[in-house]
Amino acid sequence: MKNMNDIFKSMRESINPDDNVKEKLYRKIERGEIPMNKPAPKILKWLPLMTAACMLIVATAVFLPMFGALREQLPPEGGNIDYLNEPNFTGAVVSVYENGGILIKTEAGNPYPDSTLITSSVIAGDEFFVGDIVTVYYDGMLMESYPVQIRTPHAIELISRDRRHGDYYADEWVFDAYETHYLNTPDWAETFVWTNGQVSAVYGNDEQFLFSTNGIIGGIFVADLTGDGKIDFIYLYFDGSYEYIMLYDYVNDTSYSIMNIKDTYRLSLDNGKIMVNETTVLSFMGGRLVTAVTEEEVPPPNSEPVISEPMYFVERNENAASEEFYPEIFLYPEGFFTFNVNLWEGLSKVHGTYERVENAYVFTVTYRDFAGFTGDDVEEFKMHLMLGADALVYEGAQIGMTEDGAVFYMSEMPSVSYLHKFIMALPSGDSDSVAVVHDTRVMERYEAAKLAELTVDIVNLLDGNVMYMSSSWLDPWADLYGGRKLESINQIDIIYMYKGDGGAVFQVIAHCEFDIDDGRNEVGIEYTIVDIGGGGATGNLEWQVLDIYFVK
Amino acid sequence: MSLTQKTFVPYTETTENAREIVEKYQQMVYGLALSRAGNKFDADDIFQEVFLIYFSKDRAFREDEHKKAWLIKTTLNCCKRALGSTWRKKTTSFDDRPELSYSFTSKEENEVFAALRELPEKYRTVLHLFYFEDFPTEKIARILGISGANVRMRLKRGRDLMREKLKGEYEI
Repeated sequence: MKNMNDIFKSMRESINPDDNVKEKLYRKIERGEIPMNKPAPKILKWLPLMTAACMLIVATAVFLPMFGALREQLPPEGGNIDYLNEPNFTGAVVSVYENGGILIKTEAGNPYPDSTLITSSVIAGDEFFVGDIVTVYYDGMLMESYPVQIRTPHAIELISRDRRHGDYYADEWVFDAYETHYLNTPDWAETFVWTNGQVSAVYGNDEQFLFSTNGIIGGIFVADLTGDGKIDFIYLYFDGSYEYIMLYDYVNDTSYSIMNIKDTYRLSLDNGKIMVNETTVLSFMGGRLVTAVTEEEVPPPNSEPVISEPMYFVERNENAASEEFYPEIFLYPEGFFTFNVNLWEGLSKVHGTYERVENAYVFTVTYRDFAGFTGDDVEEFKMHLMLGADALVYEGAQIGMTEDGAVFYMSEMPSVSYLHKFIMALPSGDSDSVAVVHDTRVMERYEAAKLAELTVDIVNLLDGNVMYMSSSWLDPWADLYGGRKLESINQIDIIYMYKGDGGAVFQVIAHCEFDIDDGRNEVGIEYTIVDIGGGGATGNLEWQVLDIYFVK
Repeated sequence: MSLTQKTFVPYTETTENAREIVEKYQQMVYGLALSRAGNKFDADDIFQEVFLIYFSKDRAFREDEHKKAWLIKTTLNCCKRALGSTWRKKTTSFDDRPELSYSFTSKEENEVFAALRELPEKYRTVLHLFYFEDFPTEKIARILGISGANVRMRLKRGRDLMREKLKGEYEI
């Protein structure tokens, strides 16, 4: 029986590159040649491809119609460059096609006045990237189409590559954050050291702390996602319950949570974009991690979370009987909130307004529909942002089962049927004689135009007009002011009406500020409808007006 | 200076000592490239690319081991780039061309190398780093970014596969 260890040892001693390979290397180093992602083209390497190109002529025939009919090879009209004697040109890749081929934008007039060329068939979809600078060596044969085409390039040499997005440097990095790892990249001179749950950059004798982690890190990528010319870290972070995609911006020394996810995902780089993939099938192609499973591009982070649509946060409170009884809070873009609280004996609601104060939201309670339970005297509370606003930490007096320090996680908005448009008659602003007159169209989420109509209607109603049909009556509104022309509506705060699965609960806060020729006017109403009795278009509502104001 | 305090002396390389650096690490880089690529043609290219990247910037390393780890990681990345492209998968391998395959001096070495070449990549890399570079499993784990347990599992499976391919003629 032969001993493989001994054989390995003897193999190790004899493995060395040939001297001529080393000499070539030394010459390149001495000449200061820029390293490229692949070696300079060798005709030998391209020979089989050229043969393959002939075999793929059928595929080419399918590909070509995208860019115009192939006609006999002709010099382009007006072209006065003798390109038959200039069988190469340099340009930038502007498109890469999955079925082979790249579109190259060349310097004006070289070799074709229109300056755009495409090669076909022989190039795999992942050999080149948009932005690459390449030199194409070919036989001088151009196929006239738009854009003109080269079918059989001798070689395509990668001259330089925009490394903005870098490459991935890990494929199976799921490790304990408390081990020490070195992250070295060809693109940046710093060495990044990951030890004891923190990441530092080392350059010479200097060591700079960057960020710390307290969970499991996986799928780390380094890239310049923010486009500032410096390295960023993009990594998966697992806090024991949820995974997050985090981005650390080196220049601004800031961490963002780009996305929170609930299952096992991986990051990958695809054509210069960071992708998040649900991982079942992973493979490497062209030095990049790809997957057969559907993938989604990770959006660049916002430096400041901007609420452009309602946000929904859930407290996964173990005291709740089941998920449907979890306390939850809705934040609407215009500064209103609805807090569904759990009082143990049932769910109830808190409404009001909120504003962003530094790294927290401050909530002012304007309405609650319960009394005699814990929290019925709460006037204000706070929610601190954590993990880049993907979660909120509650600070304030206990409300139902929600205690100080409770964490609310951002979640997908629940499916609810809303918004109904209710027109209410408020004769002379007298809250004692209000009548509900109409229930009209269903709105899809937040349709500003319809809401504006509704506000205008309310303006009418506040002025004593009882309308029996909702409308976008601007004329009657103008009539209210003696036929004077409406100059502009400066501001309409959106009205919210929420209808949950277990019945309808609405909160309406309307505010309209507008200009008529005699100056600024404002009107507003805030009311809550807490129940619906009966049905049909004129169902009975139990409602409560919180505030009505009219300023002229 | 206390005994526990570390002093980091950055290594800075220039083209003047390029030959010295290449000579020192050529076996490690070329061996790994050959192990991953399985043929001399690609190993030559990868070998050159790794050192060109190395000398493309002034690099600072904490210690010699750190530099070795960088070279290995970069070699692996270059291998992935060079060997993972669709272009490559769609074309005929050069491996079978006799002038491009690597030849060892003894029959046993060639047999073992042939068996090693046929192993899946993940086992091949771990076996190479363990047997050719004498790296402990924890260090391999750090380099590859996987757990030590995973490295040991790959070693075991790699050895089993080697035994199977060599039909039990070798002890490992």
